[in-house]
Amino acid sequence: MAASSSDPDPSAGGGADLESTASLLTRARQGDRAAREALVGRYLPALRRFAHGRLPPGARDLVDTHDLVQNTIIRALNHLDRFEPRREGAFLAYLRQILVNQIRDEARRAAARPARMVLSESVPVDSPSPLEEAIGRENLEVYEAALQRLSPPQREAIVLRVELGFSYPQIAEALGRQSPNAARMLIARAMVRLAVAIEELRHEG
Amino acid sequence: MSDQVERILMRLAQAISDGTPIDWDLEVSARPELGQLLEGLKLVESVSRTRRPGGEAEAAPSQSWGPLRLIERIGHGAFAEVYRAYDPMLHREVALKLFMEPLDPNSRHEMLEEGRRLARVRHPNILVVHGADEHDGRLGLWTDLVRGRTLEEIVREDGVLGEREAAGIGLDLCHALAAVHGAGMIHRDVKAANVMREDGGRIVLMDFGCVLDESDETDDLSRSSLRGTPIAMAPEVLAGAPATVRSDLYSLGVLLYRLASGRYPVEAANFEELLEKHRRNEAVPIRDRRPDLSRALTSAIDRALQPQASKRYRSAGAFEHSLQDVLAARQTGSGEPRRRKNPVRRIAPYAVSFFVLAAAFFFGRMWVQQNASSSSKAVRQTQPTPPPSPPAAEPLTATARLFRETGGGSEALADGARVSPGDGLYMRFEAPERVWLYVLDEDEHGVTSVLYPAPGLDGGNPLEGEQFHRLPGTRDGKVFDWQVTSAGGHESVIAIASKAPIPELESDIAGFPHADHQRPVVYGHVGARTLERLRGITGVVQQESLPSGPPHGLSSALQRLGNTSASPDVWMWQIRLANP
Repeated sequence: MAASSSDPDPSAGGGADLESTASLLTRARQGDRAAREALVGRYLPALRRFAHGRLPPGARDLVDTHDLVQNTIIRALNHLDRFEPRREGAFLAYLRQILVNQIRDEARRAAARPARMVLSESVPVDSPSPLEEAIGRENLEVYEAALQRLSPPQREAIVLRVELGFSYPQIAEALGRQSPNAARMLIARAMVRLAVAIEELRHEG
Repeated sequence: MSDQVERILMRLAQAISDGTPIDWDLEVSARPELGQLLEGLKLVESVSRTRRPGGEAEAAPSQSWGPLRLIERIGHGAFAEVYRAYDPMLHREVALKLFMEPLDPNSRHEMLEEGRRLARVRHPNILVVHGADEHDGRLGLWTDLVRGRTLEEIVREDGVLGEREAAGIGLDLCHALAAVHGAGMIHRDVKAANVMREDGGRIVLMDFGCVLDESDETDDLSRSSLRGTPIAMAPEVLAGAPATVRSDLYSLGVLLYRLASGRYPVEAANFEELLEKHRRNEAVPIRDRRPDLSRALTSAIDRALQPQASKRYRSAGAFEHSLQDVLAARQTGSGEPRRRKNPVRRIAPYAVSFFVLAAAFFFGRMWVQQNASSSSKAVRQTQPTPPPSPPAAEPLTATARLFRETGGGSEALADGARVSPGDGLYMRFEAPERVWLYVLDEDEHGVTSVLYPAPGLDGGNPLEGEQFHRLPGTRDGKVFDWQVTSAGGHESVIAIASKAPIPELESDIAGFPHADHQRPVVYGHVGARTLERLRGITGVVQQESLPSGPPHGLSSALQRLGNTSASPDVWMWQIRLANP
């Protein structure tokens, strides 16, 4: 029983909560504002959490994570006509990649500026993001590089589960899998591939 | 990548995806050659952990499988999960066994075939199989939902069965096997854990054709401990011969032996030893374990257990005939012997969880050293009872630490640390050489119980030297902790390592029921005899006035241990925890 795919009800904006993401994407592409807003609302929390973990504390001072993520989503939606995702998962992975790039830019910009004066203990802007702190910068780089070696569906599976914390039913829907279990198997297989890629990368030095 | 490696990696990947904790040290030590791949997975896990703040609990990974709606998971093994599920077509609940990993085409075909054939066997003592199918790449088998306990649980929780009860169950199972064999099938996995007594009393044979476990885990029986299938297998099957009607009947003999004695006719620590003991005909006759049983029953069991297949019963009907005689004789004979109870303390109600072994309590840390410094003004030991093995030149040393599981990691518990109900505790232990380790706990009232070895978990004694061990251990790839289940008071946890087994403790442990995630958690008492022995080998004197703990307790006694431990072959460590 994958997550619901009830009939869209264009007349009622409030019905967006029940609408499938795929149908929201279709309507957003046609320029439907309510659908776009519903999509932003749907993606924002997970992507914000993701961005928060990726931004160094110094950069977090300079940009509002909320704005950063929201702008990213809106910008991506503006280009929906250029980008025809075969599935929601592909769209999300695309969003995630834009965010990663954006975060990199922000971090660089923050490092270039003088640190703001703060009354409390100062946080150097080039300090590691929470994620880097947890796993180390080098590991994060290896991880990112390994991720690029996966097939698109595998990469999307990892992004949705590992990075965005989607549930199995959500992932099944986003990746067009028949069931939550199928999604779970896909994720596990992708993780094994990722581990192999990480090992290869380390060997290559 | 070999299938086996792939399977291991997939299991770990699924655990990461599900958010199930993994003991990486253990996994790496089990498969050092996979070190780098495991490192990769570990990295994925740490990314996953940092990015899932709060770690919202997730419902079961799936809510449906084919036409069935999953309601709750009621069982969980290395290869399959069992769900209570709802069949919307027929408006009834069923049990659904779902295999977690893709099977190779052959086993898959076999399993589906067997399930389908069994679906046609109808017998009151056989679990009704409704179907077998594959959805979403997962193989599943769905059956009647039987509410009750397995015979294995009954023996472990309530103790061994009386003669009449055992023979009656044997009779029902003969009927069931006759039906299976009549349909041209061999069950292949007859054992107490695969038979349920329904709440109404009906005996139901279950778990058909699902003998997958042994194909994978190489030949190391110790990994599956004594609850795995090999221990119940006929010797010729163990040696590689195909299963037959007579090997099923042998397994039924083992089952009755277990019901009557709580033991197995041939017990071994690993597969080789098991084979070897079979080769040397070292089965212990049931009469040695239960001299009170009637000759009719013991000879029926003996015959089923004949090493040579041709000397066993040729059919379930023939076995049944003998068991009928037992019951007929009993009717006219003397009264039924009373059911024997194991000395078992029940700690916590059943929960399907990874943390099942219950402990508790309070400890403070205290190293008991052979060369305790100047403070050894204390007591002179006066009971130099013989050590378990001749003293060696080098006194035994070891390290042990107790940890508490926290959200995503663990913390070492220090002296006097507080613990609370729900805490999962584990111990890291390392010794420079192979040792037998016993972890005991003693409560405020001086009641001492064994926390380790934990029967039912993989591994166990002896522990190999020069590698660290996480205790109490694992089973089916799941890591187990001791769980604090009740508040109140304080307790001592005592670790005793010895270069040789301590017979008194071993015999206590042998009588304990096995921990299992599908039944109430229990552990057993340590008898007075054993306490005496421990005091003896550690050279401890009982003291009257003691700082804490009951005056006659083991921990109090150990606290007085000074610098002249009676045996350099024994090492001890103690920690006390508060659990107010």
